[in-house]
Amino acid sequence: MPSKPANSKKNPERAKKPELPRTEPIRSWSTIFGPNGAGAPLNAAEQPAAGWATDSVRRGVELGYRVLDDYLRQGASAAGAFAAPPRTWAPSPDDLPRMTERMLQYTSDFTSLWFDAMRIMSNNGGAQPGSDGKATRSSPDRPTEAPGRARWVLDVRSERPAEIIVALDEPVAGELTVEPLRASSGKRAITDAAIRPGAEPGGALRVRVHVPPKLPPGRYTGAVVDAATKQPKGRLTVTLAK
Amino acid sequence: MAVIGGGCAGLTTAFELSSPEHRGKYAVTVYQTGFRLGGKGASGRGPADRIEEHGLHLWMGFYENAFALMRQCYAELGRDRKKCRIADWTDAFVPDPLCGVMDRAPDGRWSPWVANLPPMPGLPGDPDAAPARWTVADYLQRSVILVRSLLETIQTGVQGKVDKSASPERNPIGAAPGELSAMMERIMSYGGLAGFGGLIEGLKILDEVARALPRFPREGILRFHQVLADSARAQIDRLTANDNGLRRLWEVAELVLATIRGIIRDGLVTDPRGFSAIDHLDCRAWLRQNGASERAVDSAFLRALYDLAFAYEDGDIERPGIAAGQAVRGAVRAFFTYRGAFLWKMQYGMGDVVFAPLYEVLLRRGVGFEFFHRLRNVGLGPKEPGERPHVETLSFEVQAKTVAGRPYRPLVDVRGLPCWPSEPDWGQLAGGQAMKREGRRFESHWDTRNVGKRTLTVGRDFDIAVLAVGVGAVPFVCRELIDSDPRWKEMASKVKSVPTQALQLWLRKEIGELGWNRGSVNVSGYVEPFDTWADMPQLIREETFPTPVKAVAYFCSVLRDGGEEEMKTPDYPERRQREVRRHAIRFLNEDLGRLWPRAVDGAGRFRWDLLASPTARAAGADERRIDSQYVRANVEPSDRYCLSLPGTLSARISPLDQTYDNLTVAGDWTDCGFNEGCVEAAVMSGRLAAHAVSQQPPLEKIVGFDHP
Repeated sequence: MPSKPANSKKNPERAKKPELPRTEPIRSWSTIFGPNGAGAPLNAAEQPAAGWATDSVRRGVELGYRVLDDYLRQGASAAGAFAAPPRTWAPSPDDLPRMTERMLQYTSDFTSLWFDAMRIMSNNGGAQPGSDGKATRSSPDRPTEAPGRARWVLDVRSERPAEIIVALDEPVAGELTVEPLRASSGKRAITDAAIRPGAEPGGALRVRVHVPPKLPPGRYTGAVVDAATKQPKGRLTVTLAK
Repeated sequence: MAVIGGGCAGLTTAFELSSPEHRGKYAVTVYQTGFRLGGKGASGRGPADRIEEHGLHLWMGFYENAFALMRQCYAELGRDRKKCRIADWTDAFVPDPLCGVMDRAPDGRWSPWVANLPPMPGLPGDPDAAPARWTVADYLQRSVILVRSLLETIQTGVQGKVDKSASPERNPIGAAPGELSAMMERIMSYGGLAGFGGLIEGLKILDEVARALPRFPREGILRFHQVLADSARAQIDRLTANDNGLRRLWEVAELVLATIRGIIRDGLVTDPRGFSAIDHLDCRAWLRQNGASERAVDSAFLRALYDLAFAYEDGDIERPGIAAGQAVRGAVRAFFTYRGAFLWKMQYGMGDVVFAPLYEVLLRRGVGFEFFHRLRNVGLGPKEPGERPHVETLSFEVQAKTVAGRPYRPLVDVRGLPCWPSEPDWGQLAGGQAMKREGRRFESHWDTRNVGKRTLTVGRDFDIAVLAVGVGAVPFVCRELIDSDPRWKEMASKVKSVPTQALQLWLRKEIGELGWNRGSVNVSGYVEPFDTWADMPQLIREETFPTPVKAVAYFCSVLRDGGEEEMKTPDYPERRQREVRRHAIRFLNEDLGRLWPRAVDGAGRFRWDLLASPTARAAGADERRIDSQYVRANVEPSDRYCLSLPGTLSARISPLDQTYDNLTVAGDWTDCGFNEGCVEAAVMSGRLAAHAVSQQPPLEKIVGFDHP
């Protein structure tokens, strides 16, 4: 304890609180993605630059914005068509539910991508484990190189053009199971889908997606689960075009 | 170090500053009004050793700082389990995953919605941890697990026993793939509903387009908008009217959608203020402006949020208010960062579990305690040019002195357990028996009788002051600060508090026999005057009633504030106490039957013979039996509950504030990073106050201080 002067009014050396280098909390969202004290503390001036670490996330977010913009334009056009005062009017039972389901799906996907982007930004652009891959209809079985990560073998069968996204949250080595891929509505699903790490020579990842005949266009998503621990490890999404 | 106030915040500061790491650098003395520590958390032992609390204290699984404090405390205490039944923190706190809200259907009928929230890895307060690193996958995984719990409560309910598939023994993370797919199938089956929700979302966005693109005829779009919205809402209402499960799920979905929409729309993800950017708005208003319906904002979930925070300005239930940013922050922390269980229930009174162990450890470390010292004024020193202002004096009234000046021993032994009594030990006090006859109320602001005054002077009696009094006491003891410092003036006028009311019942039948078949639960969101109920069977074995007690129930709620003039009258606390007694009688006769259908007679009136008395004296079988129970009006300034009203959080003063060179503040009313009235905020503020003095603990180690 610092020495206590007998009379503080005459003695300027009375004990005082120290000057503090920081007196405010850090409210940046980078803190939500990591433990306090990880690395040097961040202040507002040190927030990660708004650069995008991976092409896939950037593309995904850009795609999300484009889709939303496109949808808004469509919606505005539809609204404009009703500019003349309607007499009696009711929503078309076919058009609007489809539009709104797409809207909900895009909003959900976009939000998820947004959080992915924020996570990557909070890691200062460090490469994240996980990978994505794309395939189109009747893609041949050939390894596809993802930049600097795993080698892939794609086994895809689909009557329609298909975009496939595999999002694994961390490297996996054990057996994986893929839950049936379902859309936001409808009862049909893609059940013949699998991801096999190390199944191919050289340790390539084998992704199999066999889309059943006459499956309606849409986005089908299923969880990828570690067969041993039953923990979710990511998701597999197939988007069937019209 | 003069720590004024022996509640959670002040004792936390004392704990930190007396830590062995400081090697005795700080000589700490705690100054406390009355005869016991604890502040709003103080409890005592009354007749039949019954525990008498200020109200209901639930510890949440995200209270990392508070649990870390208690775990360190118990570890250092090293009690012998053979001699003391609370030897370890796990004897004191037990996981409590079952919680519920009282849901009101559109037809006005009440029904409970009880959820068994799944256990999460780890234990709160685990050392070297903030919560495990969050990846988006963790966030989504938690969301999925919580949604699954939600769906299970809708599917199967909890009929007097925990749903096996959500039992605490089973780790939901290890759910079999078949169960995951069943869950996803169930979510997908609501696809039709989600479509309508998307419709409304789409309409909201169209509305924004209309504002942004003036070439689109606004009138036409608005008409279009209104027709579609009305049509959609009508269809949702039809779909959910007869299905409570669907309706509840839809209400939650709406709230989640509105929250996500608000986070994106208001740019909270990139705003350096994080959620604080919307603290000027009320939570319900913010949700409404982001698309939540009236039904969703009046849902059981949201009502429970407000009830648990006593978030009603001036105690008026027609004026709910909670800062939106803090509400969202609290929800994120509560639901996504809890460890072990969502809630943890104390197995004894809070005084027994928290403040007795803390007192013992602090005493052992050499911290001094001055009981019966009521702070009257924080006096400022003369302003020196170029110097920061400072506190010169701390003026106290000495309420009582001990016989021969011996140290006051505040604890009593209840069958081997150190506890706080509900009355002082009059025998230790000089003139104690006379004081007892006079009815001295040492904890009452209105009883100003004292045996002397004492003024501490800086440099001689203290160097640095930690003001850890309750927020309601600040205007009475900090007049000089308020009159001379605009920030203190603003804080005193904006940071408001409310009184609360509490009721404890001891019953001669088990809760199941009274008609509640949803398990031992904590329920909120019910009606005033007692909107929150907790079943407390764990206390039965601890108390020694002459009549066998089969159930213990705690109720609490906000209490309407008195007017300024009303509060000055000397019999104010007695009048409010009588008022709460009337509330209790009315509640038991008119509202309790919906929770416990067999606790009321054929006319719907409460069966007073169900109440167990702590004394052998027989009480009447009518309303007078309420006097054998514990009814409490928490109207003392120090007992008032701090609010987080919209537009007020920026007026709070931080423990890290550098304005005064020898003063820091601590309490759940300060700007502590989690600006809501709760134990966790109090402990965080106490740690911050310690940091302000010693730069320990590091700010990065105060879990949740840095958080959006």
